[in-house]
Amino acid sequence: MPVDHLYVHVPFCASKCPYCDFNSHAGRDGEVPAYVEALVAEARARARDVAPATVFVGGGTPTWPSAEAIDRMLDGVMSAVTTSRLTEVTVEANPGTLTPEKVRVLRRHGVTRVSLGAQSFDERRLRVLGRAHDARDTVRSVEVLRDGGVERVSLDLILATPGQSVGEQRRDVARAVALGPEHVSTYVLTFEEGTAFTKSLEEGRLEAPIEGRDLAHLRAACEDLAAAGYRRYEVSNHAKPGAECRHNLGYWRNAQWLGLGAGAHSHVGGRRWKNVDDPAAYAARVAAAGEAVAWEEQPAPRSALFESLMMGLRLVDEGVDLAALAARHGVDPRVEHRDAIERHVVAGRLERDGDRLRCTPAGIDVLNAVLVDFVPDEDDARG
Amino acid sequence: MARGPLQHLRNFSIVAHIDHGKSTLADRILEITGLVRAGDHADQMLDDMDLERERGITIKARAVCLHYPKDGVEYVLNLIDTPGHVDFTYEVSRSLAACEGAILLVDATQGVEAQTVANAYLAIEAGLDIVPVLNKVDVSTANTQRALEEMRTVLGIDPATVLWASGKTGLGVREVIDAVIARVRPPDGDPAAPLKALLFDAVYDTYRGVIIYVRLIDGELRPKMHIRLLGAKAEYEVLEVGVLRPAHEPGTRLRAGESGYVVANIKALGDVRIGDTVVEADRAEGVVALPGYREPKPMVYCGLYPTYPKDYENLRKALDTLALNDASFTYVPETSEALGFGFRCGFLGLLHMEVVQERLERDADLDLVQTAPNVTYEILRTDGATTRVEKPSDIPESNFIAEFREPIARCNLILPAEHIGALMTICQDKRGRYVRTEYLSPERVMLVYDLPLGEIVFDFYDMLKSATRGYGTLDYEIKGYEAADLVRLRMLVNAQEVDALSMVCHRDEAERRGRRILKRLRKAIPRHLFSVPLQAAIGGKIVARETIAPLRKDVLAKCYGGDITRKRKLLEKQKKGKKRMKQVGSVEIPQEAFLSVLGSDGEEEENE
Ligand SMILES: Nc1nc2c(ncn2[C@@H]2O[C@H](COP(=O)(O)OP(=O)(O)OP(=O)(O)O)[C@@H](O)[C@H]2O)c(=O)[nH]1
Ligand code: SF4
Ligand SMILES: [Mg+2]
Repeated sequence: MPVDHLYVHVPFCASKCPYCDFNSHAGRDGEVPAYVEALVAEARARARDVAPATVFVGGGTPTWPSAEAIDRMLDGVMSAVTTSRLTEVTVEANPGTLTPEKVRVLRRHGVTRVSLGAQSFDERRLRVLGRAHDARDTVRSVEVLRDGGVERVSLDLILATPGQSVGEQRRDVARAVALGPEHVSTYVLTFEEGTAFTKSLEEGRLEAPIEGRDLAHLRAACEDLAAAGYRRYEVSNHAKPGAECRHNLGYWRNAQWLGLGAGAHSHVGGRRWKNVDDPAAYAARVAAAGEAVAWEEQPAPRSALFESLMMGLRLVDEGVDLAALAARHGVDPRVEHRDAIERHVVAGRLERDGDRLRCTPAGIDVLNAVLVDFVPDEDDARG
Repeated sequence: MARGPLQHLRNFSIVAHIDHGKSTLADRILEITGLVRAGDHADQMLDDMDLERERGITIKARAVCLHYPKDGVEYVLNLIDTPGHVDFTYEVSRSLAACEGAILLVDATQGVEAQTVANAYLAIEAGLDIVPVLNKVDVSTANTQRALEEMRTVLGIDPATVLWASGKTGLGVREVIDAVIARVRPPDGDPAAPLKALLFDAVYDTYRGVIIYVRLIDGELRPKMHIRLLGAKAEYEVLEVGVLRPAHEPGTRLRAGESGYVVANIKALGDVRIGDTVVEADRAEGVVALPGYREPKPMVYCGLYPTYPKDYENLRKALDTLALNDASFTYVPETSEALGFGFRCGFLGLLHMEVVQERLERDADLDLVQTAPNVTYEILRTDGATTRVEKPSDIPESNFIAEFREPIARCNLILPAEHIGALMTICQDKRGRYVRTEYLSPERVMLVYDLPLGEIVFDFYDMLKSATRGYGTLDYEIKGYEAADLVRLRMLVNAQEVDALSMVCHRDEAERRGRRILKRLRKAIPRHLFSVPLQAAIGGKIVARETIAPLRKDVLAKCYGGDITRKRKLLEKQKKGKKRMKQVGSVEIPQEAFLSVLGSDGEEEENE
């Protein structure tokens, strides 16, 4: 299998959002030049033989550094790889960080798609979320992108923000749809370990989420988006026909990709590895050794099969092809998981159509509970 | 009057309430007599089991033989350090039977407490010479006057005879030893008479088999002698005799009045009975057996099950090994529909239960599910037969029961007088019967109540502690069985009875208890993909119900390239947790849930 996807991580942001547990840092802009050089060096050292079909520059906020820094980075990375097979180049951006000049830089390096962190259009929600932009910034950013000729725009929305009613969320979704994006991602707010939000929750400064509320929000968003012509193709992703994110599809299909940058993960030849998280430490390691791998593992066939199921069943219509998985991992899920498949099919959480296995609408909401039944027994995980 | 060397021998125990400083005082005595050098060893050196060291308590009585020169004479002192906790009272009784005297320690900061009284009476009833000692006088909060007053009121001890000491600093310890020599009578016995010895303890040694500890009344014990255990009617050849210092130190013989150990090729602890009389096989004629002791009977039972069924054999082996060294603990195989194959185990009390479970989990590396403890009941059936029931699920349908009887404990409760009202209310709630009140001093009082043992095991002890800010202490003794209006409360999970969760309680309490247990179960059992009804029932009548709502959303919002390993590990962990749970029908019940039936916590009540 070829390495079809390239991921590039840019861990810098204007400010740190209180719910965010990504590898992102505010107030470390002084490290940008060294970091960009390290990225370029890592790309030259490790991505030389890669001819990706998709590139995804994520963060952090890849559009937060200066136009020059972005230029230097994209130039270095793109010239290190073979670009002849490219069909999609995505860059993540936040409203308020996009200027016509930066968009020109993106276009010059072949960027076809921008994923914009809109999150909400309600000023109060944006404040609760600690975002550095307002709704007007989002509107303007979309204009700048369209004016600059970016073909595809995706908007991120956070659902079930503290204090948000379903009605309010519906207005948010309507405003997002009105901007005409090809793609919308909707994330139910989660409280991740170590974030300021989680701390506030523990200290009682944020109201604990009400049981069942997130489900109501999620359902409303799916309905509204479906009505506007966006098909939910993954748990949290909706697209106009043909506008699915090909790069992310690669993850869900458990394909191969190379990750560059601090904390980036890679999956090549059945091996997974991760770079060191801290941007400065990453840059120093790359400067010294040409790589910055923090850990790696080679999941056993049964674990690898589980990963394929875990990711693939997130794809609403596509699901997984059991025969293909058997061939790929050397372990046949039709045998290995016969009982679990049967049980969840009978209970109406999974749907089987020949070798195609997918979640039903009821199943997708409780996917974790379904997946637990597919986790290999510890004793044979190694086998 | 003792003859010859017996004049210079003293056999004595140290008895007290828990934590009053017995083992620490023993350390100082070991140092003064030169058996160990100061600072050479860990504290409480006679507490050598891991569990004793970790918990800082004595579980097993331990004997040690010491030499003490005084006024040109070499005295031999046999000291036995005893445990203070009520579960191990039988250890104290055994020890006292091998002694002529006892040091009665009272912690000057605490005064007389429940086991002070219990153990003092044991010593007085055994006819021992008592050396009263006020301990921990080095502590600034010591209330010596009050403690002396209490000792006089409750135990009739003249304050002028009480020694003051600190096991911690060593203050007054030499005087304590001198007082033992002066006040405790030497043993009385005839070394020339036929052998007669009390078997007061036994331990199992992997290499040497059972080692018995004996106190010689008359005669001598030498290697090669043939001995007979009168009660067990078994004979053995003595291989080795010796004294404990505290390790085994072999000698040529043991003589009347002395204590020591005997190795005699005894295979199993089951072959010996503590309290038995040891005689010489050829000279047994006419030797009258010693009175021996009442064997401790387990009063508290619980089910112990391996979390993973494959561990059943390992659990059985571990129980076998444990029983080798703890005759007071019993176990028989049992099966539970919910938990599979396991054992019903009997213990002397809750601490004993905890200790055994801990040893199993640690020493044998087993993961266990424990059911809530219950006491033994007696059932008079309508056909006139009486049966003892050790687990709630063995209780017959009510139409077969003529009388349902429960064990009643006579409880001595010692507490600050200001809390007496609160405690009397609790005792009343727990179906206690008031016996009497005794003032130990103007501030402290002893309440005597008869309480159902089942209530004590359930949550009485915790309530006592919280009602008295930790100052209340409890000692009890089983009086007998009495009939009561008891019922078996059944718990149904998803319409299926879970035998391991059923319990016995008073009819009037059933509804309240059922509701409380279901509330806890609701929290302890994770959500399932379907809704899980929980019910409490007496016979076929539902007295309480709760429902665990189904899981409706459980999916990760984000899952991209970087998350895969982490998310996989998360699900693997979930699966592991699920595997540890017990499957009842289609419901998975975590181990902790099986203890939901146990005890109370005030907080929950308030939230209702
Ligand atoms: N200050 C002070 N502390 C003491 C004295 N004697 C014992 N202690 C402390 O009291 C606690 C209990 O001492 P132990 O010697 O273990 O008491 P024990 O009576 O053997 O306890 P059990 O065997 O569990 O009944 C320990 O923390 C000792 O350090 C003393 O004379 N003075
Ligand atoms: S902008 Fe995005 S990456 Fe940066 S802190 Fe906020 S949520 Fe995290
Ligand atoms: Mg002790």
